[in-house]
Amino acid sequence: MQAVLAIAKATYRESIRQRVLLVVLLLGLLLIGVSVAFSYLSTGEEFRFVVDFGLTGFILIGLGLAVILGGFMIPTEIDRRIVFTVLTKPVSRAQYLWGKLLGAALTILVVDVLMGVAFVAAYYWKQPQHNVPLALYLALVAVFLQTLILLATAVFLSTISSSAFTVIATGFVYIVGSVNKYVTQLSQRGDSVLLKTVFGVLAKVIPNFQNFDLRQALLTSTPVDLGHLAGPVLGYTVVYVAMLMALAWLLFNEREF
Amino acid sequence: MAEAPPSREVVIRTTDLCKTYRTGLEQMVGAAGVAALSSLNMEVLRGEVFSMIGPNGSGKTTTLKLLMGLIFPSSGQVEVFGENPRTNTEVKRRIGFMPDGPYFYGHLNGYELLEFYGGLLGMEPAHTKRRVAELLERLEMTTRARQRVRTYSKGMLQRVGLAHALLNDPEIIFMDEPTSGLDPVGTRDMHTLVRQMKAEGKTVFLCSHFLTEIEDLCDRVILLDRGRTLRYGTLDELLAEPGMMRVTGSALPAAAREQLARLGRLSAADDAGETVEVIVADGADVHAALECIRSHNGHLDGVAPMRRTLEEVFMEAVERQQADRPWEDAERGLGSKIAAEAVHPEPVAAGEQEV
Repeated sequence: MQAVLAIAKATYRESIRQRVLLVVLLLGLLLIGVSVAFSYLSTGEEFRFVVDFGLTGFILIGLGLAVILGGFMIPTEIDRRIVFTVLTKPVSRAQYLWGKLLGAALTILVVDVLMGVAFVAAYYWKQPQHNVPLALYLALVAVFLQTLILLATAVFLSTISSSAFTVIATGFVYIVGSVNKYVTQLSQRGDSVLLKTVFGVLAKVIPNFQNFDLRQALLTSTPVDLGHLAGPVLGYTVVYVAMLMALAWLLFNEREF
Repeated sequence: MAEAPPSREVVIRTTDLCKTYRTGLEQMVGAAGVAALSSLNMEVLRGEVFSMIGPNGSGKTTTLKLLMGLIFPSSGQVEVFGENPRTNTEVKRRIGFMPDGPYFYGHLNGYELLEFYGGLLGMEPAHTKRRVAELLERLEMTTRARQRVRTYSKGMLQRVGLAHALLNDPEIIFMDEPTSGLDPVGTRDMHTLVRQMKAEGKTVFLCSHFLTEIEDLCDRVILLDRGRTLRYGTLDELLAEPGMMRVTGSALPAAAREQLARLGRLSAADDAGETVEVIVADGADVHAALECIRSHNGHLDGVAPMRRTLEEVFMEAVERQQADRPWEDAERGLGSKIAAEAVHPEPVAAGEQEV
């Protein structure tokens, strides 16, 4: 465990000090600022605009971070031979992968917390009753968990492919996962057996991110409880991340440097 | 510092170790791939300075990676302290590895970097702190330790690389080109350090292109070329020229020098030509050379077994290998087929005669 924590700490320190992370954070804060600035467009329901625009920005920043960190950190360490100095210590390849994932997750968490504070402040300002519902916090947690799945996807893909492919494939997973319901419907309709099979496989293999999107519930003021987050969202995340990391380990364990 | 003699305990052993690199496609179609290492058999003893030498592409880095568990053997066995480093990572607690031209996390500073490696080694934080301070002091890096690693020069990176390899006070230290990029002072310090480690009873496994360095530091050497072992043994075994003696004399007249030249290979041992040395076959020729010096009232400065330099042994072995297997150069695209044919011409066809 000490090795995993040491790798996670070094990964966090290494990534938090990179300029690109600051740029991403500023971009995220800018998106929240823009949502506030343009909220007058939906007169009377300004907070809804903040929710819709701000939370979308939150999701996109998470996706960007998952792709940048997950897709590049391991290939870069292999290219620069940093991995030699790590794996020649008493560290298993599984510990290395988990350490990298935890370090990147911690980096994303810090960015999400900073953005989250700005987002909640914007919501509080624009919400007529100055009341921040529990659902808003849960929505932010759900976005973070969705980002974790994307991060694990990127880590898994980066163990077998180039960074460029990882970026594209992770983006594809996000898009398909966000419209999983429609992909499932496509797998049940149409005449082509091939297309039905392809959509069927995609719907089953690619995570369903629609469970993680609480924007609609927030916009319609539908109550969301902790149970929703614990079951379909948190449980789903744990299972998916564990599965992806197990697959990543299987492939990485056989990899030669 | 008195050196501890090497023991007979084998700490590293390779048995018929082979490594062939195959791409994914080559694996699928069962193609041969590129053989990087063929049947490597070697043993490294506790407390010795062992060196692996060879031209580029000879299999040195492949061997190091196999010993570290970074790549896996195609066949044969690797043992470090009797364990397979691939399956038993615990064995890595007892070794240190200093890579060639090391790269590290550039956004960490020297302290943070070494503390990170201490964490990987499972060291207690307080112990790590003490050890890091001690090593930085020893390697004269204390004043630079708070700078980010990305700002370090190559020499500073080498020092940090060495510090990270020594952090756990390893029993075996693997060093890949340890003096590459170091200035003369840094090189001397590195040599001193290797001698200190040997004196402390540690095993040093050294890969270097600097043959004089190897000759100066090592107990035993293995010479590889194209994955094959060309020479393997103690320096004395490798450098000795059996049956040949070196006779050195001075204050000799021209007639004596001519007489010595007829006995063997004559060379002037100094620029003025006053001291001459002759390489002669052991036995009657040595007696004849001694008699010649005595009869011309010259000074006999020394008689010693003939010993070649490591560079001479290296060049001879590699050139012989290239002459024996010229097609391999062509296969490797080295463009030396023509040169190889010049050394080792195609056999003359039956019925043809060279004029």
